[in-house]
Amino acid sequence: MPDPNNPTPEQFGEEFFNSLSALTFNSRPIIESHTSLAMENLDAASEIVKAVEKRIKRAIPSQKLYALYLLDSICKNVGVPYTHLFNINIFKTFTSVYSLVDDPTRVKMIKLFKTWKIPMPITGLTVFQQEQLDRIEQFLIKATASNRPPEQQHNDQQSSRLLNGPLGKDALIFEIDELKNLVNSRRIQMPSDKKASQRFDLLQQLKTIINQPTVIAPQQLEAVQKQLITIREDEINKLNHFKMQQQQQRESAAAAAAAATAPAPLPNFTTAQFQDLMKLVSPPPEQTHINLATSSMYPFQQSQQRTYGNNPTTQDYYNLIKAFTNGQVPTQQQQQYQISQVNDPHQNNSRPSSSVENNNGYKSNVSGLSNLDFLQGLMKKGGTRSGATQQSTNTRNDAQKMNENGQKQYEFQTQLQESTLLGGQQEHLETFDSSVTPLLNPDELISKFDLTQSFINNHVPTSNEIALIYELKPNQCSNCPKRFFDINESKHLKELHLDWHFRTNKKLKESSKNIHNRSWFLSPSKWCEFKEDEIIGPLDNEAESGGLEVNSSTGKKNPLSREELFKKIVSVPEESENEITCGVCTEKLIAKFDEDSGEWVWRNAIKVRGRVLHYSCWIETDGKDNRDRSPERS
Amino acid sequence: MSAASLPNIDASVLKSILNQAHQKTQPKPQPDQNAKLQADGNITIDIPAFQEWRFELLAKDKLKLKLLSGTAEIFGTELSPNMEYSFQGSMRSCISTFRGCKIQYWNCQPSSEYISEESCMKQYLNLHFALEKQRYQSKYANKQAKLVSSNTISKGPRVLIIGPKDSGKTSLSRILSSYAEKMDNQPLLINLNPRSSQFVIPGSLTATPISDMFNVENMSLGETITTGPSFYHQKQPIVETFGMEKYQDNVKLYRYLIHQLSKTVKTRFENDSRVAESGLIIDTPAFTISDHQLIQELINWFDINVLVVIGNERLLFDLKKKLYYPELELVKVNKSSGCVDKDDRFERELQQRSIKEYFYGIESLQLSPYTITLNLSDLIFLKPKEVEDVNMSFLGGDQDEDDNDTNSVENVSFNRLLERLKEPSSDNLANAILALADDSNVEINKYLNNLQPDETLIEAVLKSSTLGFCYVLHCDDAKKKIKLLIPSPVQQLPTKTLILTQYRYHE
Repeated sequence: MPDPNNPTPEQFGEEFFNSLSALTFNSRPIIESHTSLAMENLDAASEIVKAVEKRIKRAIPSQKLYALYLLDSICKNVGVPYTHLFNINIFKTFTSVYSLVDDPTRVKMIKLFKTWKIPMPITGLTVFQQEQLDRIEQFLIKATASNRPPEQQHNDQQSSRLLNGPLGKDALIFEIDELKNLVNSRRIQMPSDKKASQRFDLLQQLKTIINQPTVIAPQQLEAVQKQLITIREDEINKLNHFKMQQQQQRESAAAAAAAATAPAPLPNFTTAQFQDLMKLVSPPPEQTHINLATSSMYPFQQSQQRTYGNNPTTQDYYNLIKAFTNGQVPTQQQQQYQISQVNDPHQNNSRPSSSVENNNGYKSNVSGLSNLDFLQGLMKKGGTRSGATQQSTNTRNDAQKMNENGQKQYEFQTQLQESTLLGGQQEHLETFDSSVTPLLNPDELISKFDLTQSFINNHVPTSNEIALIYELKPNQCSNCPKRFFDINESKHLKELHLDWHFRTNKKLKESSKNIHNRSWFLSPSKWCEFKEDEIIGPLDNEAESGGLEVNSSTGKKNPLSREELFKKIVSVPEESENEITCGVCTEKLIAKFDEDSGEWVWRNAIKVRGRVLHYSCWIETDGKDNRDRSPERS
Repeated sequence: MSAASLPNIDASVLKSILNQAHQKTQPKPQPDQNAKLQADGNITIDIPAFQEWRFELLAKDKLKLKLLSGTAEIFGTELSPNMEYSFQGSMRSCISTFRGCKIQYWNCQPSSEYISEESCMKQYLNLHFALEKQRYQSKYANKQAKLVSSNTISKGPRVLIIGPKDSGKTSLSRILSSYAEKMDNQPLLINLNPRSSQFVIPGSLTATPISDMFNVENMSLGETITTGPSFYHQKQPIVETFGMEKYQDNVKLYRYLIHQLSKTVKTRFENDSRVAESGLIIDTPAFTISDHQLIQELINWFDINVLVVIGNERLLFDLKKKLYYPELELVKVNKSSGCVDKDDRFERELQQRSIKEYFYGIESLQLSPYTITLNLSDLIFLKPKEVEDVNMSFLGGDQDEDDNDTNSVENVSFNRLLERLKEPSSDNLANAILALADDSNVEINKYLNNLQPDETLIEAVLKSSTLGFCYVLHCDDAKKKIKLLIPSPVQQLPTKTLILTQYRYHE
C-alpha cells in the first residue's frame, strides 16, 4: 500500500539511501540518527542494508569510510538482523573499500576492523562471523605486507618475506634467529614466564634441525614457516601485553584518581574534543529525556544523573569501567600497529551509548545538515511513544507476542502516568526511559539496575527489562524451555542442543533396557577442576577442534573434556601430508606443532588399523570406551 | 502445530489481553471466573501478568499441566509451551508470569489452588537485575585483567539469603540462580540447610554450579549426575555430610564443614572464571539474630557482598547492628504469601522422597542400585557428635574481635565433631542412611586395627568430601555382617569409612 506516511520497505530504503548523501564527513549526528532509524525500522532491514552497501560502493573514496562507520554503528548498536545481513557481503564491502582509499584511511579501517574482533559484551560473540573476519584478516595481512608505510617496513619485513619470499632454509634460519632474540628479550623482561625459556630452547632445536644438510620437503618447510609466523605474532602480542600492563598500571592509577574526584574528564579525550562532540550531540536538556546510559557517559551531565540515580557511587564505578574499556581498545591497537598516536574519532562514535534519543533531540541534532526532510518526516511518523516502541519490538517474529507486548507497553504507560501523578518526576523519568530503550540493548538496561532497597521495592520491571530473561533470546527450543539468541552462532548452539535432545530422547526410550546408576560425587580437588562444559558441552565458540560435540552425558560414555581430546595425539609420519581426512566425519585433521614433544601432531586423533581418525569420532562409533566417573579404588 | 490452529491461539491471546485491559477499569474478576472447565475435564486458567497460580498436591495426586500461551515459570524456571508437565506427590508450588499466560491442567484436581495477586516476583526480579549488573561489571573487570594478563579474578555477587523458617529462602535461591543461568551465567547454588535436600539427600551441605535449568517436576533430586541419560543436563555438586537435622546439634561440626566448603568454593572460583563471574547464592537454615556470629563468619568465609533478608524486617534491622559489614549491601525482600508452614509430616515426606530418588531415580530415569554384603569389622563407622544445647557459648570464650575465627574453626578437637561408633550393630544401624566418606588419604588399616587415634582419621575425612550414600538393608549381629544398598555397582566400596547420619529410610 503506497502511503507517503507509511512507505514500503523499498521506498524506505531508497529514501534512506538518498539521505545518506549527507554523509560527506565523519558526522556523529548523521551516523547516530541513521543508526536509530535502522533500529526503529527493522522491517526494512534488508533494504537499509542494501542502501548502506550501495552508499559505500557509490561514495567517492574519501567518503567511503564514513558510510563504513555507519555500517559499524548499526551492527554494534542494533545487532541482529543487521549483523547477519551485513555479514554476507562484509568481506567484499571491506576489501573493495580498502583497495580504493588512501593510506591514512586504511589505517582507520584497520582500527575499525580490530574492534570487530572483540566479542560483544552481552553475546560474547564477534559482530560478524569469525569466518568472514578471518578472511578479512588474511586479506589485510597480505595487503599490509606489500604496502606498508616506511616506518613499519622494518617491523614486518620478516613476515612479509616469509609470506611472499622463496622458501629457503636460509630465510627460515634468519627468521628463527630473529625470533630467538625476541623471545630472549621477553625472557629477560619477564623472568617468571617459563614458556619463554621453553620456546627459546625449542627454537634452538628447530634451528639445528633445519641447519642439517638433509633435504626437507617443501610442504614441511611451509609448515615450519606458518608456525614461525604464529610464534612471531604471539611474541609481539605478549610483548605488547607487557607494555600495556605497565601502561595500564599507570592508567588505573589515573582512573582511581579520577574516581576520587569525579566528575572529571575521562582519559583519552581532550576537553576540546569533548566539547566539540557535545555541541553536536546534546540538545537543550529541558527538551530531552536523556537516555541514562548515554548521560552517564559524560561527566558534565552527571548532575542530572545524580538527582535520579539511586547509587551514584556504583554508577560512577560502572561508568569508569565502561569508559576504561572504550579508552583502552585504541591503545592496544596503537601498539600493535604502531601507527599514529592520535585517537580515531570514530572510536568515540562506536561507543555503545549511541542509541535512541527522543525526537526533539533529533531535530536539534540535524540542524545544519542537508537533505534531512526525509529524516524529519520519519521522526514525525514515529511521533508517539507507543509507535516507536512497537517498532522496536518488531524484532520478535511472532506476531501474536508482539501484539501482546504492544498492549503491555500501553499498560505500562498508563501505569506510569498514574505513578507520575503520585510519585513525581524522577520515577517518571526512570520508567519512561527504560520503556523506550530498544529491546536489543541489554547492556544499557542492565547498567541502570542498582542494588538499593528502593530499587528492589519500587521498581516496576518494564516490558523490555522482562525481555532480558525471555524475548532477548527469541529462539526457543521446541523440546524444552531453553532459549537461544537469534544470531548465527547461536543457531549453531541450538543445533548442538537439538542434537543432544535427539540422542538423549533416544537413550531415554531405551533406558529401560540399560542399567543406570547414580554416580559418585567428586572429591574437592576434582570438583574444583570440573568444568560445566563437560556436562553441557561447549557454550562458547571454542569448538574449533571439531568432534567436541561428544558431550552426551549419556550412556556409559561420559563427556570428553577438551584437555582429554587435546592429549590424544598422533604424530605426523614423515611421508604424510599435514592435512588428512577423518575416516568417520570426513572433516579435516590439520597438524599443529606440539611444543611439548617438539613434533608435528594431530590432536584429538587416534590411529586405528593404519587410519587416523578423530578420537571423539572413534569413541562415538566404536563405543568401546568404558570410562567411569567412579573413583577407581581397590 | 498446524497452521489452521494458529488463528485460535491468536484469538485466545487477544482475549487474555483484553481481559487484562479490562481489569484496569473494571473490578477484578474472581479467580474462578478465570478458570474454565471444559467438557473433557481439562481446566484452563488465565493468569494475569505479575500474578501467580498456586497449587497444592497430596501424596497420591498426579497433576498434568500444559502452557497454552504466554510465558510462565515455576520458581524462575521457564515452562515450555511444547511440553506436558506432570507433578506427582506432596508438593506446594506456583506458576508465575510476567506477561500473562494461559495454562491447562488435567488428571487431578489440586487439593487447593488459587490465583494470587500478591506475587513477590517483581521484587525478586529486581533483585536479580541488580545482581546481574554486578556480574556484568565483574565480567568487564576480568576482561580488562585478561588484557594485562593479570591473575586477579573479579567475582560476581556473593549472596547470602537469611530468613525465618518457611519464608521462601530455597525458592528465592532457585529463582535467582535460574534467572542467572538464563542470562548465560553459571552461579554456584550453595545449600547450608541440613533439613532440605538440594540435589542430594538431606543432612548434607552442598555447592552446585547451575549450568542448566532446573527440573521443575522433581524439585529436590533427579538432577544430580548419573550414568544414564537425562532430559535436563545433570548437576555436579560437591557434598559435605553433616548428618543431623538441626545445625544447633553440633555447631562446631557445622562451622567446620562450612569452612571446608568455603575453601573448596574459593579454589573453584580461582579455576573457573565463568563460575566466579556468576557468583554464588547461599540458602540457609532458619538463622535467628542469636546466630549473628555464625552469619558473620559466613560473610567472611564466602566473601559475601549481598545479604538478603527475606520476610523479616526486624531481623534485618538487628543484623545491621550486629554485623561488621563495610562492603556488604543489606537488603530485604518480602516473604511470599504463598509460603505456608511445612509441617513435620510434609517435610518428612519430602526427605523420604529425595532418599528414594537418590537410589532409584525418577520416573523418567529409573536407576538400579546394588546390594553389597560386608563384614562389620572391615568398616569404620563415624557418627556426628550431638552436643547438647551449647547455644554458641563456645564462641563467647575464644572469640576474638579480629578475624581469628578462621583459626578457631580450624583448631578444633576433632573428637568433638565426630565420634567412632564403638559397637556397630542392628540397634544403631538398622535402616540408617550412611554417607561414604573419602578416606583415600589415610592408611585405613591402621585405624581398623586401632593403631592410630581416630582423631586423625576424622580430620582427614572432614577435609575431604562425601562420595555418596548407602542404606542399611540388614545388619546381622550374629554373623557380624552388614548388607548395604549402594548406588553404583562396585566389588568393593570406594571407602571403608562410613558416617552414620540421623536419617532413616523405610522401603
